Amino acid sequence: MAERQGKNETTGTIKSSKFLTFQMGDEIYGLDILKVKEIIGIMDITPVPQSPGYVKGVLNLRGKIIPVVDLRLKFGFDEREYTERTCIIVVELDMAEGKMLVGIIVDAVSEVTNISESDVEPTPEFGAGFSTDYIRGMAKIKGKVVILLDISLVLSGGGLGQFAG
Amino acid sequence: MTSAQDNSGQAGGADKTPAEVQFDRISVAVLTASRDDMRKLGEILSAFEQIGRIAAAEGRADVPDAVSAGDAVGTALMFDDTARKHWDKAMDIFGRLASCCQEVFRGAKMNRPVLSRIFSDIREHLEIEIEGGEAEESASAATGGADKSMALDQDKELYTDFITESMEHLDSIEVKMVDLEAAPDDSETLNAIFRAFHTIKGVSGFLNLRDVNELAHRTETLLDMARRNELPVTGSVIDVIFEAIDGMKGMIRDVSEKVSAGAATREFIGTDRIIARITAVQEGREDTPPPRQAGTPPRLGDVLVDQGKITQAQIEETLNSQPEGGGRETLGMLLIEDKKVSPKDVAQALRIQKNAANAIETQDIRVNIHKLDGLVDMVGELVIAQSLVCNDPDVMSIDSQRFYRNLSQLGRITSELQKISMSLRMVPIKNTFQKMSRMVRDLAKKSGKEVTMLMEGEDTEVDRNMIEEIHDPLVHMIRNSVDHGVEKPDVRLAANKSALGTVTLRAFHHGGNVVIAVEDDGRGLDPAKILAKGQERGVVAPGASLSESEIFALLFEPGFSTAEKITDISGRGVGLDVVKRNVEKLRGTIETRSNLGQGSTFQMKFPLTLAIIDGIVVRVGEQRYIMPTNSIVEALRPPREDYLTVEQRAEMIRVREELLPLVRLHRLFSIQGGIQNPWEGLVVVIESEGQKRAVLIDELLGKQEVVIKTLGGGMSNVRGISGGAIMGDGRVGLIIDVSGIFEITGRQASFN
Repeated sequence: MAERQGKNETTGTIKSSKFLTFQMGDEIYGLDILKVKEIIGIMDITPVPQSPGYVKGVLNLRGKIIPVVDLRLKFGFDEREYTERTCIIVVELDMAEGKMLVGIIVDAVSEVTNISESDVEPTPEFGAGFSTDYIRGMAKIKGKVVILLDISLVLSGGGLGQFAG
Repeated sequence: MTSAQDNSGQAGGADKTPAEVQFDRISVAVLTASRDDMRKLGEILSAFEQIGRIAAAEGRADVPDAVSAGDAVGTALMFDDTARKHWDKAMDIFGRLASCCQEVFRGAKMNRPVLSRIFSDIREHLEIEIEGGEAEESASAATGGADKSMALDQDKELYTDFITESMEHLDSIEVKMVDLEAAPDDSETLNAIFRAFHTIKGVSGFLNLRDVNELAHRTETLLDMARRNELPVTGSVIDVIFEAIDGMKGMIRDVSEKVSAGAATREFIGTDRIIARITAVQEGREDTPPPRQAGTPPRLGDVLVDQGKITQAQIEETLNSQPEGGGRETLGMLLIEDKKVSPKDVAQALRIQKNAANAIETQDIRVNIHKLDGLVDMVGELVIAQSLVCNDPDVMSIDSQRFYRNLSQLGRITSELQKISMSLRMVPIKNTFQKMSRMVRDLAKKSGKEVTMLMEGEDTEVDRNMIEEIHDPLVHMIRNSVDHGVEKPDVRLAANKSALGTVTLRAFHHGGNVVIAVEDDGRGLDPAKILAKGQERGVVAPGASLSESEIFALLFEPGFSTAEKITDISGRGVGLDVVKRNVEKLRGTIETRSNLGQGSTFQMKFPLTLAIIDGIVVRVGEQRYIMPTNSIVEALRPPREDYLTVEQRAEMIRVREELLPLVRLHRLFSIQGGIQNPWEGLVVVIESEGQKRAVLIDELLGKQEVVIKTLGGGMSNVRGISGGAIMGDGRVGLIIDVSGIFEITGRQASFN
């Protein structure tokens, strides 16, 4: 619940916990490891007609069909060929209808790292037109900046509800 | 084992084709198999297995011996190198076993001497240990003897068959009884019921189940009198037959318990009372006690009286002597205190009572839905993985007998597993509906109404879990319809309706949903009255204006009842909110429609989470889609001249004399690389609600049964797609929602 209140309380909500970090272009992002169900390599994805462009389609996760979102497209990056390093992070989201699994395609998964409250700075304001609701904060680790995402908000803000297009 | 004695039960006449197909498979494989051909051997084994299954389904008790012998020989050949030295001999034996079985399927009885010769050949020539043969003959000799006790250990299978069969008969009798009550003069129905009882009588007599036999016999006599017009089919005749059905069911459950527990010695619930009632009805005396409500367990007192441990008068005496306000003790305790019965008798009676209460199919177990889902998913995955392995080019190039043997074994196991896991879930809703028909009858009788129940779409297959969950809401809905919906005969006549009310149960698939509707032609719902009630209860603010559907939704609020009078059937207001909760748990919805004075319809709609459909796999560009077979009319490649346009925009295909709007699937679904010209690709003609469309695709890839799965969070409402399925190569194929296609293309198809 606290997460949903967004960046105003960001620093307050991040206790020392483990984050999975991954790369998107030159940027490093992190998401709460508790949300991550598993990480799989890129696999065959069936496109679903009449859905938004960043929804790459659906895939078969051991008999369960789950939607897959390309985070590059969701963030408005250039589309890039998938490589050996491209990964699908399967996250579990708590939605009104219950728990659901969604795969997100990222450039490469880096590591699992401990981030404590003191490492985190609130997200700076970038001005109008740049929504940072889904960013929980910026963490500085070993001289690098990790952008901590609230993945539920990334996918639901203008997102999953409109999957159906 | 001696089917010759059992000429009443199985009159043959079953369809022989599936068995013949398997026999053909065996003959072909035996003739064409070269030495150590493991694939052919696998073929033979699976054919024997199929025959065994068909034999079990058709109740041919003779065949399993031969089938298991065939299986033993086949398995030995597969895994035992020494046995394989006798390959040709084994093939010969397969042929002989098959022809033995084939004769049974053609109506002859099993030729035991021939079979035991085959068995001894197997033992001598192939050095394979098998069971059966001589032992069977001695057993069959014993059955003929005048052994009065239930020799359950003799042949479990016969009893098991009897149990399933007679339960089925009794169920079908129940349904027909309702028909009979509606039309007591219908000799067809009467004959059908008579025949069913006759069969039960025959088989039970053969199996020495004397109590069942006696009761069946008495009922049969009663029916025979009715058949010969010596006895009018009155309400009490029907009541007593229902009682006999219940009694027989109880006894058969008892038998089933004994069979599964080995031989026990417990007594049956006494038949004397029912038989006495039958006699009374036969003699035209109708001063019978009120029938027990169907489905409720017998009362303790009744059980004790049935067993002759105590008389009705003694029970009443005890009950009357009970001190005022001291009603906390149970009857059993009181009786023991009065020293009228021994504690042991009470305990026994209680056990009988409990058994009757939870006597629903003892072999069934309830399994957590998630576990079952997981199992079905995993089996699906297993099948895919297995086919991936088998079709892998590297694997195909392996040259090893042993390997193919094991691979074929793996294939058999997986396909079997898949079949089982699929069948675990899907069942026609028929059974549920049929149970309801009995309930409607009982309810109508109780509330002094005349109600008949109609069923539509009872073959609609529904997820088994769904059926379990649907049952209770459905009971509530039907109770509601009978109790509140349908009026009493005099009221109906006054309203210019036929005295006989109708409750219709309907089931069908609609756009990826299962819809179950309960419809009655009763008094209908009065929105004004419901609204007033809602305001009175404070659920609705005074003066608020609600739409009709919002008003009807109030009915599903907890504690909301519009019945003026509370009856013991329904109307306490604890029904519909439970219904709603149950339906919502299944992610379903309830829709209420009503015309005041003409009746109301409650329609429950459930998502088809895990149903199997028969589909045609089509390719468009690089994408594959599954089209439900039942909505496809035909597929064809139209000639160039049959492609027509209107104002160069609206496109049509002429199929014979019909002009069908063309739907370009590649355009509709934005697929790259699809064939553009209809005369180069294929069009599939689909039909929904009487309308047709020609859908342009690239090619047909084949037919496949698929398990419908939802597309996961947020994607379940994609228009034109009803779900997904895991295809043979592990990828997801999307299932086309035909009615959705009509919706999307509706406007452009009307040619403006």
